[in-house]
Amino acid sequence: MSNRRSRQSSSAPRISDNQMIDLVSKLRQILPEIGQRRRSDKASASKVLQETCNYIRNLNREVDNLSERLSQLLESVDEDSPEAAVIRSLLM
Amino acid sequence: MEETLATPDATRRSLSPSCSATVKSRAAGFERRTKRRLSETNASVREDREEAEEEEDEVKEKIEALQRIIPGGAALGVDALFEETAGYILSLQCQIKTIKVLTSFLQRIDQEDMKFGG
Repeated sequence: MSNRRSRQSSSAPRISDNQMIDLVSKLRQILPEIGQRRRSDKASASKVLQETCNYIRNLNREVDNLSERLSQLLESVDEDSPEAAVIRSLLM
Repeated sequence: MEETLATPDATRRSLSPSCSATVKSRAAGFERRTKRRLSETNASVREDREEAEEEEDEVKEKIEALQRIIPGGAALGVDALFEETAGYILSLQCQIKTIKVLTSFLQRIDQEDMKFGG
């Protein structure tokens, strides 16, 4: 599967969009805080970093689960069927 | 106490042994009190430093964990690591959407096959 990053034309699910925007804004907010010496800022930076790691691990797990389901479905498709031709045209 | 310690003018000109002892005793007390205050100050500074170092270590540990789960993250500095993290999250979300579209397409085929008895 291609790992190229490109904006999709269809609108994304609202929850995913909100999570993404929230997380990216948090990441941006961390950068100046890392250089500061204030204790509370370091504590909040640690929490945001932990949340980021957990979120990425969850995304990786979801990709693995969906890939497994996709593999099972692909195995059940007849190679000579027109659906297989459609899938090949999508993936090639 | 102070009035008792006050010395007449006649005695001030020459330091008697008892007066000298009194001066030494007061100096010793002052040194003890000063040392105690300095010791307390040093302890407070040490506690603050240890706490700050502990929090810095925690943040550093989290950054290292993030470097481990981001592809190629071990070689990145903090700024580049965060940009790569945001990009990686977007990439994973696109992968999830793509796989969901393919999965729903294949499931629809299965349902149609059942419907037509194929």
